[in-house]
Amino acid sequence: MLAEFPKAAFTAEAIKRAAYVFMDRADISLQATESQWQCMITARAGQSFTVEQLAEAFRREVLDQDLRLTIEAKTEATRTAILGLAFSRTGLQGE
Amino acid sequence: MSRFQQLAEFERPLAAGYELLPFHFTALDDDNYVATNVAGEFVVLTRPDLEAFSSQSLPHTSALYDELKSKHFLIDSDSDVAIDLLALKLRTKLAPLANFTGLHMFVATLRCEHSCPYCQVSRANDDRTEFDMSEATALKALDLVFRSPNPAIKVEFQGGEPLLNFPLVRFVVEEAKRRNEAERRNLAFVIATNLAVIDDEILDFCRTHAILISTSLDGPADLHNKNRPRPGHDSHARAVAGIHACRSALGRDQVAALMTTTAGSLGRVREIIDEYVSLDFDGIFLRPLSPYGFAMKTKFYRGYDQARWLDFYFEGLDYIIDLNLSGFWFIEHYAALILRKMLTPFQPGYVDLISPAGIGIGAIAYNYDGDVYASDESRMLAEMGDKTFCLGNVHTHSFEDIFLGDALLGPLEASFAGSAPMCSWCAFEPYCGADPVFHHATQADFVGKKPLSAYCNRNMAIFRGLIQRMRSNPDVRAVFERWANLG
Repeated sequence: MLAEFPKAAFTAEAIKRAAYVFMDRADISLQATESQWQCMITARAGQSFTVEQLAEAFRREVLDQDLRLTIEAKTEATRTAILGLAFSRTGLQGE
Repeated sequence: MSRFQQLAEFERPLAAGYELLPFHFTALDDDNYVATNVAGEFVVLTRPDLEAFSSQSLPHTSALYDELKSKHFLIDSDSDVAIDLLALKLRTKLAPLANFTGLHMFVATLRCEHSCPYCQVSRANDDRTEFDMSEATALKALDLVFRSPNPAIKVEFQGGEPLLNFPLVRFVVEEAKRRNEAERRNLAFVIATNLAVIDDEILDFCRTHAILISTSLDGPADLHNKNRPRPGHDSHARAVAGIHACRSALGRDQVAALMTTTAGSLGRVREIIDEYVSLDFDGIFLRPLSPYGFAMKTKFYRGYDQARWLDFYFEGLDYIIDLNLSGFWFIEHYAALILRKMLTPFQPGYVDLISPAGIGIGAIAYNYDGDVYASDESRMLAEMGDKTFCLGNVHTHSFEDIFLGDALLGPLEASFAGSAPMCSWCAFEPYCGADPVFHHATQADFVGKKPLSAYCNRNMAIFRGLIQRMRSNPDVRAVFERWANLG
């Protein structure tokens, strides 16, 4: 089953992450056209979901991954600041 | 004229909006998500709320805004100390790392008079003394023990059945205490024993040196004896008699017990818990089998699948929760470890559920022959012919060789959950761990493909199960708060 995602809205990173999460349920091959990411979804043997259910869940996972990437980008500088502060007084840095 | 400004004046800065602090989210169920910040504080929210919050359009007048603000998921114009507080909380969680290795396991002997088919060690017959640790090896191992900078050192005797080489146990305890007169560490000892051969001489020694006893108890007599065969078919009777004898000699809280789930345990979790209750234990650690050692050779590891173990676990957990809600204090220890991560600023030192992984830097195992392994599971793997996690030998390698070598640092670095695929964006990462030994054993990969990982699937199910139970009943939350704060 083919699931398509507009390139204007989704990065390849979000789709690759979602495909990784699905490796226990589906084989997902990714191709690019000029405007779309095309994901061919094939159910893995021995699991109970239909390919339609898998496609629906995969679309949702791509949305989640896209949001995660947005949040990571928005908070990267703060995360670095927090980690810097957290490790600045541990005594682990040496002289 | 009013002495105070109107409320709207105080809220005006909030209307200027908020900034997101770093967080991850993972689906809890079909409708809800769990979000965690870098310190592991969590919030449960719906997808629309998650989107509104992430797009920075959540109204500052909403209850969710207050919860997210109080748990450091956002900063606004009157909460800019959150970054410092988050850093402090993160540092508190990570502080134990600087202490380095605290648990040092001595495999006193591989000999055992039991012949348990699920044994995760390849035992030797009890007349094969070539599988005993020598004093010379123990002395070299103690040199390494006291090179650890940890102010609290725990020496645990493992086997086989370590009491079959009790002279070595006595030697190590006395020598360690002699050295500790100068070292001044907080030194503790544990003997992991089936109690079948314990006697008054050993009990006197344990009392004199405040040695803790950790034993095996798999449940009612028929189940325990089936799991743990020995000559006379009396393993359960000996364990129970030993527990009573140890409590009389050492004190009630000086004896702990561990169970292992076999296919025969499934469907009997309440009986198993009742056995622990009847023997006056404060709790139980519901554990699955691990994919190492004799358990693999005898196919015991494949006796049940993950789903059946989780059914077993949650039936047991709910039974224990009901005991607590009816006023009877009893703990499920694995849940308590996780809840301590979820509900307190502290990080329990349980080596299987920590990242960076606990191998080597949390615990280390000195085998009877002097080989040093990154964990107890590592030496079990070696008994299967895979010495990937053998870090050296006490007779031929230095502390630096062992603790700074690639055999340890390689898997530690590779498996760090903060940079592992799927772990690095998982909301449950603050509660979880990296287990390079498990993933090497099951996938031949230190990192492991988490969608295919029994470790990941099991822990994710338990994290979700605990949060769902807390949300559905405030009384359960109160029970969990008590478990989390046991220390």
